[in-house]
Amino acid sequence: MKWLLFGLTLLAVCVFGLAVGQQWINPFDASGQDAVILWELRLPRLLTAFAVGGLLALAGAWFQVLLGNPLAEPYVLGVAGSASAGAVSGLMLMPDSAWVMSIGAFIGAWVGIVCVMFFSHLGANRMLLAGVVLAAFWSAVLALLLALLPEQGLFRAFSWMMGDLSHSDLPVSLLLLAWVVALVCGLLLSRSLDVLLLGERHAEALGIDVKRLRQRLLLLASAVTALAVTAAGTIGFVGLVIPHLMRLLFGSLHRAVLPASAIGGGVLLMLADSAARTVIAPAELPVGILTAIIGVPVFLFLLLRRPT
Amino acid sequence: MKYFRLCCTVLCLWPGMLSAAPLERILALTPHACEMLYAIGASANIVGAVDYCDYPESATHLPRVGGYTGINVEAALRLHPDAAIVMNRNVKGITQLEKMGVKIISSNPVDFEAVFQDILRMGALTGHELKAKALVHKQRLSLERIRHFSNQFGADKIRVFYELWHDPIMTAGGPSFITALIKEAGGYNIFADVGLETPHVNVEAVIRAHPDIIIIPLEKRNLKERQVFWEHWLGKGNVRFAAINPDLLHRPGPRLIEGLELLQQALHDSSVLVQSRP
Repeated sequence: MKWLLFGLTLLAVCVFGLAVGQQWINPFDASGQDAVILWELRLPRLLTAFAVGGLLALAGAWFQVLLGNPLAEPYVLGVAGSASAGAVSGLMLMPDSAWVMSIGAFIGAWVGIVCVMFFSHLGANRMLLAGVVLAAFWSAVLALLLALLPEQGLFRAFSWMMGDLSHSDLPVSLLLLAWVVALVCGLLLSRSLDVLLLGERHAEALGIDVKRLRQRLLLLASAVTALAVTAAGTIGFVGLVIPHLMRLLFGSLHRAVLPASAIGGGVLLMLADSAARTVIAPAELPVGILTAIIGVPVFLFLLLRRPT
Repeated sequence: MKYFRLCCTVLCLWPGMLSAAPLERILALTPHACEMLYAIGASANIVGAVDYCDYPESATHLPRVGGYTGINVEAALRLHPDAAIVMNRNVKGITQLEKMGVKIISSNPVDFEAVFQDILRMGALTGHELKAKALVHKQRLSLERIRHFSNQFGADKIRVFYELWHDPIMTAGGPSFITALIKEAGGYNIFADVGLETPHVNVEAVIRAHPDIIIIPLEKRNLKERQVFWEHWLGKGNVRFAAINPDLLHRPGPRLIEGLELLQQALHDSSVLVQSRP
């Protein structure tokens, strides 16, 4: 029943996301200019939002298990910082190029991931500590780069850092494929994740190679984060709260939490992006602001209603 | 007693003498002020400038004392300035300069009349009144001519999209000076109703607004690429393109009138490209 409602919500949000905008378009009966706007502009953007939101929520769920910390989210280990620093350095090196920020972000994200990997054998707490310190380092590098960036680049840099789905350089099909692959990988690992949540000793006692699992999980979560950041810049909040929200709704078994997060993150980002391009239309708001404004009340409401 | 009287007289006259004396050493901390001083023949009074004071060419050789992030107070004071002309008092270092005895003059014109008044004011401050008055007179005549031309065509007929930046797509909104310039040139900014100075808009909004012409401030951008992009969405032949040097439209200085002339030419002349003079 819950899943049916969830599926219906997804469908409703998809239709709603296609229909709203500067002007209302009926998705089932569009022609001429409306059809172009609907299928060539709104649909790819909506699907990008869905895939990016889903990927961020999945990464968040993995990081929370991996680090054994409810405050973990995809950017906690500094991947967002290093990706932003990469994007801005790209902008500094080649200010005229269209792709340079995405390429820079992708390279930057992987540099950040490799740095974290050095600490992956240290156990959850130390790795988290190393990640937080690295994040501070990357944000300092980012501030340095921003101070040196010529004025024309500043706006581009800031809009990228606030998250923007209006001009993703990655093809939608690639993002959707990544969403499917990430979800399947996640489901394959879901049993081990459930055990890991009980504690490393329990997991080892049950015959799980914890070290290998942790490394795999870190790589998977980081790769997914890198892709999401490359596609849409740093969009906060989705990765932190959606996994918790889904645990409140569907219980803590990852068999349920992971698909629910992948869909729920997508739904939240689709809603937020629809609002971003509608609220002050024809102008747009940064989508990162709206994920929190929409998501926080829902989350707090559920937190109060549900027993722990 | 005699000396005492003399001293008193001198002391009383001193402040008056100070304010009447032309400012000899000026820091031009905004490009439009730099251009104004050059245009009224007061370039010899400029002792320092900021990074983006790049017109006329000789202005690029002026000692630099800062950029958009702030003013280097030490570098500025080393030039022994009497005064500094700023656009925005909130830039880092300005308050400190003022405390050190440098006179701060604000210049942030938001319409043509204010630009003219500032040119006259700078003429008075530097002792170049005559040249300033002549320049303003000439500019008033040009503005009259432009307005007359726009009135003939009936304003607001030509729908203009001003693509301030493309990634993300930024434009000029209602409160922006650009919207007023487009109106003066005889056009209508399709985003004039948006209450933000530089709103972020999307392709859908531009398609729906049906622009007749897209103005692209050519600043390290590929015009051909923008043309291909917009023709894909708006249809080939449905929209014209014009590139204008943004310094002519974004700096409220003596070249603004030149920018307005180019804008009008672009709006009413159907030859597709209007390239600005370098």
